[in-house]
Amino acid sequence: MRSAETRMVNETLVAGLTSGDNFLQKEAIDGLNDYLRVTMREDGFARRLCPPVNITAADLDRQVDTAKPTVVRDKEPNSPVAYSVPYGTTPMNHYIKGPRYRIMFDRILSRRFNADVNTLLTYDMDIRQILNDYILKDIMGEEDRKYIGLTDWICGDGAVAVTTVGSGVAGNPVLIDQQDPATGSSKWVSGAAIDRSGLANMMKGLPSSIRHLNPATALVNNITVWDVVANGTRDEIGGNLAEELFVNGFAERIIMGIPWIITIKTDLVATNSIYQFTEPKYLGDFLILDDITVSTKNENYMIEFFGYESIGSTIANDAAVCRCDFNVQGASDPNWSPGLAAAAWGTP
Amino acid sequence: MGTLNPGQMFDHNLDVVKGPSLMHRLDFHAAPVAGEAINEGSLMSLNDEGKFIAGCPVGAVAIHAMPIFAIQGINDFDANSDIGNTSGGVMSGVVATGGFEIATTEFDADDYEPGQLLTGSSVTAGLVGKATVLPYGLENVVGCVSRNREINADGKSMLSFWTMFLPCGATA
Repeated sequence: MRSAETRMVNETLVAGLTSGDNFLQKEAIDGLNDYLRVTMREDGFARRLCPPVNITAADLDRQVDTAKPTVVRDKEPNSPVAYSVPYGTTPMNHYIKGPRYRIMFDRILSRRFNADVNTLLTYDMDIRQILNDYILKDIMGEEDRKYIGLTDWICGDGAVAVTTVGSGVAGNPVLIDQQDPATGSSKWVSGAAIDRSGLANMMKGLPSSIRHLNPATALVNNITVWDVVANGTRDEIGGNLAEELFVNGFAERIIMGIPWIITIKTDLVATNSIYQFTEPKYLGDFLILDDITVSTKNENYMIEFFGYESIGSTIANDAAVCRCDFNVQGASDPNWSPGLAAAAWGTP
Repeated sequence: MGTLNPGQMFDHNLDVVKGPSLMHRLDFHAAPVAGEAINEGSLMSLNDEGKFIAGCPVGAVAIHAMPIFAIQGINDFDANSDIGNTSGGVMSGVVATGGFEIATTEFDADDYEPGQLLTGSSVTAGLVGKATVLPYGLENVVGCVSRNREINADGKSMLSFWTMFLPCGATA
């Protein structure tokens, strides 16, 4: 039996969604919208790597040939090197031209959910929570998919493949251990063990470029992180931390001076891989033109609703990200992922 | 005195003149094949990988691609973007069987009388042109002209037609 509280919640939600005009188009407000925004910021790792900034129409830069929203942003200019000369020598001229880049926007939509309002009354669970989660997860997943896809593209494309070792994430470049002539460093390396030495080597990735950036955040999935726990012995990472990791597992925390974000999205962040991102001000942009909104419509006894947002995000600095693929850990241990293809959305 | 004539957003245009309500119309989104010449208003279809290509080729036995008319160009900022952006990678269009009358700039320059059946252009992929054979024959029919070409308010010639799909009987 449904609890009285759950029933009341569902009835209240349905009454709210179906109130007003027959063709009611509204932004979700009150708890519905607030809840979505708060959870989005907690759960979407892209938003944690590059904190979002809300913009308005006044922040957009107009173009002649398109009405599509765009923001043009200046990029730090380069200055030629100084040089030594004998007395009496005059300086060489250099005309000032600073680079710029465009931030372009598109829209992310959830599915449009619809139902007969009376069927919504029959659920035992808190239907408001279910529907929030559906919309939230769909949009959040798409944000992260695009962000990590771009990260892999930057790490893998435009670089010189030194070795070809296995395959990368599906749909992305398959060459790993690549060097980028533009930044003078590798952005995607492989072959290290997840131990003190391997993790320290990982930390050298971003500072090794000619831009000398430091990692500010690491991104790892919730499977790989257990190898960090397992290998994080007293010898490897020190006494108190090793003890705490073994007893309490791996909550998000600071390791080697940077916070690690642990994601369950193993389809986006591959097992045995760790990404690093530099500080947001060196990284790029996450601009929100339309923050996530739930639009609802009611016609007689049918309701429908969907979530949408419009964002423009960039990784505008190709020295701001890197990826380390580590050796498979515990090769003699039973394998929890024997290669069975899970039936997932979008697969045949 | 200036001599440059910059591109404008209405150079290539699709107007959905009549049809279902905007929020429930039959549209479709997919990634395009890179480099395809697809403008707003172009005729396009899905290839065997499910990606948009310009035009609507004949196809194989019992496989004839549905005509779809592009809502945006392949290089519009929301369909493609500068390197470093996460946006783009997907295009969308209205599906020919969705019950539309559309006006497009993407057609073979010619005069058309109402009732003229349209196929993919034999000259330029992505344009529509006059059908030259009976329906269900050698060409996929993608539309039926409703109004001859007209110069619109922006000075561009647009052809209006009802979208439809009569798959050809021939195969590639």
